[in-house]
Amino acid sequence: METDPPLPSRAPTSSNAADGVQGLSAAEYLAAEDRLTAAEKAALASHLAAGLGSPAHEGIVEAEAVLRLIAWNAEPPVLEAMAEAAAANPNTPRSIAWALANDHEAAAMVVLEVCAALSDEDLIGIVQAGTSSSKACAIARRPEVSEKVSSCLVDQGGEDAVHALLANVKAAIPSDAFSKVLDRFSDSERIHEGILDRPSVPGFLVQRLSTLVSAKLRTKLAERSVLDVLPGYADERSAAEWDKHLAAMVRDGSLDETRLVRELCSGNLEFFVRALSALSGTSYVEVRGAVLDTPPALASAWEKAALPKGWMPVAAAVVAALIQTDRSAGHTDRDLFCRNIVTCTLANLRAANFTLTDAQRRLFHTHRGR
Amino acid sequence: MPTVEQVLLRIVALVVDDNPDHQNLLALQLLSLGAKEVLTAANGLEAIALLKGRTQTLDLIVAEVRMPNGNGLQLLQAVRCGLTKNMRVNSTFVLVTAKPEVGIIQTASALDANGFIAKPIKGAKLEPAILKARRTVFPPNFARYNEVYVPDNI
Repeated sequence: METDPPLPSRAPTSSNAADGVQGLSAAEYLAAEDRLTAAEKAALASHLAAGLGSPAHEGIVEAEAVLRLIAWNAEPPVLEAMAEAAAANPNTPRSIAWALANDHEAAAMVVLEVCAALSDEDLIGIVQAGTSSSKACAIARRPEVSEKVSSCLVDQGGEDAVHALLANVKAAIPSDAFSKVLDRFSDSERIHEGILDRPSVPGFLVQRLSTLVSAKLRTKLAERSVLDVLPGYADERSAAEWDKHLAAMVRDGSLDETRLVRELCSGNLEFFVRALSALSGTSYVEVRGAVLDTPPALASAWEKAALPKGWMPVAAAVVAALIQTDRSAGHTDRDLFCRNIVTCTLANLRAANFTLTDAQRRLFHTHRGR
Repeated sequence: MPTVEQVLLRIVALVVDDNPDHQNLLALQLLSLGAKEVLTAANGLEAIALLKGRTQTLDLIVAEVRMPNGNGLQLLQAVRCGLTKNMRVNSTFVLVTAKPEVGIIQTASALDANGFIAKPIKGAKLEPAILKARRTVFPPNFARYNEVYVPDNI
C-alpha cells in the first residue's frame, strides 16, 4: 500500500522552530507541501528567504528553488511573510524578488519599495505594464529612484505615483520630467505642492508654476529658500549631457576644487552635485542626499573624490550659505546674490575659526567683486 | 475576488503532454473547472504547429516539462519570444512535471512561467494554481527570454 512520504523533519512549524531547514530540497518540499498548513508554509518561506546568503553560500540554489515553488503556489499570507523577509535580505536573488513583485499587491509592494535585487529595467517594466497604481507608488517610494525610473513614472504613472515620487527627496528627477509633470497634471494642486516641496527645483519651472499655482501655494513659491529655483541658474542638461560635459572637464583638468566652489558661489548647486558625483564615483542620488540632507556625509563624498581636505569646510560653508541666504535678491540681481553668498560663507567660516589659505581668499575676493 | 467560474469560464486552453492519459485527465479537469474548449498536443513541436495555424489566441497553455520533440520549457520560450505569433508573449503558461529539479525550476522562473505544478495533479491542486497563474502577469522582456538556455534533453 502506498503511504505518504514522511514530512521532512526539517520543516518548521513556527518561526522559532525554523532552524535547520537549510538544505531542504525542492522534492522534499513538494512531498510535504500538501500537508503543511499555511502558517507552517509562511514560517518556512520566511525562514528560507531571510536565510539566503551570498551566491556562493552553500544550499542557496535549493533554497531559491523551494522559494520559487512557494511563490508559484502558495496562498497570499504565505507570500506576504516571504516578501517581508525577502525585502529585508540584501542577498535576495532577482528571481524571487521578480516573482513577488509581480504577484498580488500586498506581497509585491514591500518588495517593490525596498528590494535592491530589482533592476531599473524590472521596475520600468512593472510601471509600463500599468496593472497596479499601488505598485507604481511603491516604486516611487524606493530609497533610490534613478532618473530613468523617475521619467517612466512621470510618463506613465498615475497622479498618486507621481505625487509619491515628488515626495521622495532621494528620487533623482531630471529637469525635463518636471515639465512633463506639469503638462500632465497642470490642474493638480497637490502635484504643484509636491514640486515646491522638492529640495531643488529647476529654475524654469518656477516661472511656469507661478502661472499655475493657487494663492495658497503662491506664498510657498515665494518662500522657497532653495537656490536652484533662481531664474538663470537652472541647468537643464540631461544626465547623459552632464556626463559628457563633466568627462570633458576631467580630461582637460578643469574640474577641480576651485571650480566646484566657484559654481557653488554662483548658486549652481546642480553642477556641484553632478561634479562631486562624477569625481567620487558615488551615485548622483547619494551625493544629492549628502549635500541637501546630511551635511556630514558631504565630507565622505569629498574624500572619495580625492579633493583637497582643506577645501571641504569651504565647500560646506558655501552650501550652508546657499541654504541660509535670502534668494530674493537673485531674482533681479545675480551679482548681488553672489556677493551675499560670499559674505555669508565668510561669516560662517569666521564663526568656525577657519583660516582661509591665500588661494581661497583670492577666490572669494574675485567672486565677491564680480 | 472573482470566482473560479468568472476566471475560467469560456477560456480556451491548450494541454501539451506526451502521455495520452495525463493529457486527457488534464483536459477533463480544465473542462470541469469551466473551460470553454481544451485543445491538445503531444509535444512542443505539435503545439507550435497548432498555435501557428490558429487565428484566435488561446487563454492558457498547460504543458508537461519533459517531452520528446520540443519540451515544455522550449515551448514556453517560443511563446515568450513571440515565435507563436497568435499568442500574446505574456500569455498564461503553466508547467507540470513529476520531477521538479532545480535546473528546471530555475529555467521556468527565468522564462516567467505563470504556474508550476508537481504531478500527480489532483483537482484541488489544479484549480488554485490555474487561478493564481491567470492573475500573475509578467511584463515581457524579450532580451532576457532570448538569453535563457533551454537544453533539448531535460
